[in-house]
Amino acid sequence: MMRRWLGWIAIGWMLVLSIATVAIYGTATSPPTLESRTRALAAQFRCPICHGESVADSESGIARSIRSLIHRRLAQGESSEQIKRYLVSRYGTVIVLAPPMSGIGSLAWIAPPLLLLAGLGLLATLFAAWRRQDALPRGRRAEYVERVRVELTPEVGRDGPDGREVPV
Amino acid sequence: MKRVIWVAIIAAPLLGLLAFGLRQNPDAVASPLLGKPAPAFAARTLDGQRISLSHLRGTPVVLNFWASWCAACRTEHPYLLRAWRQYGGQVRFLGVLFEDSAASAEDTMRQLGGGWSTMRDPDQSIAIGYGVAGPPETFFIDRHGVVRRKVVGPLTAAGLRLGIRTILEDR
Repeated sequence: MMRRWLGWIAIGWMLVLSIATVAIYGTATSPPTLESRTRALAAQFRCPICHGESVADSESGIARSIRSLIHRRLAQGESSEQIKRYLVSRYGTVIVLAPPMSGIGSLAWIAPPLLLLAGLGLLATLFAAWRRQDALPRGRRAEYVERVRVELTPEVGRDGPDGREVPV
Repeated sequence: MKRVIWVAIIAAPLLGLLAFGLRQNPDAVASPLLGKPAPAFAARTLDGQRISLSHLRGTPVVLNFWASWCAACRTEHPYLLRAWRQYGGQVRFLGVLFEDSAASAEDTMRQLGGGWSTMRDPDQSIAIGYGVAGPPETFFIDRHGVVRRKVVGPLTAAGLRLGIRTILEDR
């Protein structure tokens, strides 16, 4: 009984600590700097000359220039959305790392949850089928339990491992 | 039979998607600039002249992004040279230096020949303005300042001729 209470007290303490941490550090963070905003925005764009690398991560010359452009435009007061529109108007949607929410690109957003649901559905169906296969027909359970009981009971005159009769 | 139908229902769209993806050329990305006004630029050439697109209005322009370290740029250079000799009176040929030093570019032009100007683009604002990923990339801008064609990679004689004819046509 005491052990059960200790568990609940521990969970309670963890909740209090988590809430206190969020309250203290979550609200006290300083506003994002120009550098952090530049990096966050650059991370949304594909380096035009690299394979699978963002503008934020690439060290190629063109990625560095795009980072400088983002930095300069943010400093001039342009919004992230304006800068994104500018780069898309020059490079096309291919510059954006996240696939578009419309057209063929929307498949990349829709397909994973749909496939996950389909997989879960398939698993549920298979489990249900296995349970049906393993289930005993009604009225045979008593017979089955009795058989298990008999088989688990040591038999009189049964041979032991060394071939001699096992005493009951 | 039922199982076969289910497999077909699941596999058909996946195979369709795969076939669609395999038929796409990952390098063939249409420029959003086609049919739109060419992005403005104003820059200094290697020999110090100041050039801006607004001053070239009324003249078709072949804008070629290149670098001395770019092998494909050397491949296309003879075609550019020939086209410049043939059409230089009607079309303005302009190079834009891409991640290269002025000294190397001047050396290369001396070696390979060609009397057209090349603009410096130290902060790559012209390259980014035109959505350039890497050299060579060439834009054909008509006399009204509209981008009519874009070629990614080395130009061929036929590609260059087609681009020039397109910008020489008056619409």
